[in-house]
Amino acid sequence: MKVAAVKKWIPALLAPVVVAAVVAGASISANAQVKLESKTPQQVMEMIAGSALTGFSGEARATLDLGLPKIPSLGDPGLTPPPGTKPLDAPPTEPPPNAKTGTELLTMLSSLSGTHHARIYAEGSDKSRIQVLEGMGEENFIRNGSTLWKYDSEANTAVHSSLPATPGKKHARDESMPMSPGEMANRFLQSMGQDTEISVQDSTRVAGRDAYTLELVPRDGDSLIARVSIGVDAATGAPLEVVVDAVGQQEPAITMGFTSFTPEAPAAELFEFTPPAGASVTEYKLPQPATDHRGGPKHAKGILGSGWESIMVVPAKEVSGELASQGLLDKLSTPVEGGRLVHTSLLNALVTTDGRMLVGPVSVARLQAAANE
Amino acid sequence: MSSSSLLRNEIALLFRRRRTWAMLLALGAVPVLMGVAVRLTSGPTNGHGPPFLDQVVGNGLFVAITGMLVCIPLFLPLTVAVVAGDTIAGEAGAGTLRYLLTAPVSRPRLLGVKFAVVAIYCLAAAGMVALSGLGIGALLFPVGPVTLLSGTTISLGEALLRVGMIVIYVSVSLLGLAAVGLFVSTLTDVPVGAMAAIALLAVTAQILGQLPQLEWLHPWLFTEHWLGFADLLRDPIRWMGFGQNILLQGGYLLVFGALAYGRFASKNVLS
Repeated sequence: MKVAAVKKWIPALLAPVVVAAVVAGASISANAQVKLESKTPQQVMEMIAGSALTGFSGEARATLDLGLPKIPSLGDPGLTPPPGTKPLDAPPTEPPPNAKTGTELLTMLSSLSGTHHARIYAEGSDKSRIQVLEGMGEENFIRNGSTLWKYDSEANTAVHSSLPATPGKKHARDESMPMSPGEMANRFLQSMGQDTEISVQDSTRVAGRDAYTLELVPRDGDSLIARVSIGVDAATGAPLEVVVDAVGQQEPAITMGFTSFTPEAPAAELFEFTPPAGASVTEYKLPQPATDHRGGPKHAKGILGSGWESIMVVPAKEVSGELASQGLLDKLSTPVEGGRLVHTSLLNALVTTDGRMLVGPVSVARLQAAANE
Repeated sequence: MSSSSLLRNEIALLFRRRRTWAMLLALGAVPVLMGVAVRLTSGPTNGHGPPFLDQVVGNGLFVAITGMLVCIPLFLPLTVAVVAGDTIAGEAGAGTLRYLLTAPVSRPRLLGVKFAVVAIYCLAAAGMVALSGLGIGALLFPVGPVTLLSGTTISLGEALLRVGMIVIYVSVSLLGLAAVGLFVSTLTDVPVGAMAAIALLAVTAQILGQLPQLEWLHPWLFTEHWLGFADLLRDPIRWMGFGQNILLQGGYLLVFGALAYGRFASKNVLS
């Protein structure tokens, strides 16, 4: 080929280089080492607790990878989850109290596996809106004071409920609402207990913002949780990202964090919701919070242990017949001493020979020991 | 000849062709077919079929949106493949390329004009689907305020604006394919071959986009955001997806535009 002809191809060679440079530049600036004033774990935790941030808007991404198989035979719960389920994530340390049966729990975890996107808006402590984005649909969870709305665009259904007013206390958190990264971080911080090694790791960037990395490592060898890393916004003290690593799994079991974050309250009308004309509206009565005077849910009946080793015990009569009657259980579980085990990277569930079910983020041995107590 | 008069000539040429109108009419027929089918059977579809189809009965505006949804995976790219594949290969095959080039038109400029014509066709095609959908929807069904995916209801005027934005979104989405098509068209003198290759690429890219094993590749496929116009039906509008789509299509335009230039500028145009 003549030199003149070769010259014509120069732009064709340069164009991919330009694209690659732009992409690389963007990813370098996103992952750049951030130099922040060094802080002790205590100071970072105080930053979270003392965060003056009242409102924000952002988009978050949650990825759940528990090494669970998909369970298509149980229908597709992802499309029309009952009002009690949590579409965005399930906290591993405290199995939701309303996941009554093991099947429900497993189905939920299985359907939640994968990546989900949501937009999160909040103002003050009692106004929030979470929009779970699906391909051609959207699920909205709107809280304004004690009023709760859930709107599903694909089914065109709206569910209204009211949070019970608890005198002297702020309104409880609605358990059916998906958690934001901040709420999840706080839950870990509140429930971690004493046996935790807390440290501050290298700073990172989350959603384009400088962030401290607070790392929680369970000291207890029986926990399936290897570590929990919390990215804390250096400017506002808001937790922006939570990454949960499971023992023996290379990829994080849970990654939940903002991909964009604006520390400003959104337009107020976002928290107002009127069901659209034509939508079927139902009233859902929230279960009354357990009036247990002895303390929070950790001491509630059915939960053994605390912190990293909480184990939920489901009595035999509440384990669904479907699960107990083998079939499904056989597919998902392996026989172990004292029953059958459903193993995920972050959660073990033991169905004992007498029909009880024990679920927790702990080793099999710990579950077996608890079953024999 | 100045660029603008060349562009005007080329656009006139495109829309004088019977083939162009046949394609546009076929695209316009899709929403009409859908609207008539829904009107005749007029019962709840129980969530089967494409999204939004359920809502057509209540609001004719959704014919346009559902029509777009149905056309974007195959019909729209197919017709874009025909127009883009014809750009250079068609002229070369018919032997008119050298006459075009003997006029004082530089090759890069001709390439730019040809691409602009394809881009205008993309807009016309997407606009055709929307207009035909709006027309048949208004004719057969009640038309009124629209409920967005987030549950917010917007007025008819605002809803029409959103449909307009969807048309722009879909046109932009097709630009990457148009750029690939322009390059493929410079490779051959047989326009039909170029058209087939481009249509095949559009389908292949979508199949690759379905495979979860290739998740790392997905953000790089020009088809990745094709169905993302749902973001314009949210409240507030999610602009992030639109922005990513523009960047992606721009990248394809840069790379394949440069490739097309390399090939076309060094090409020996004898016939």
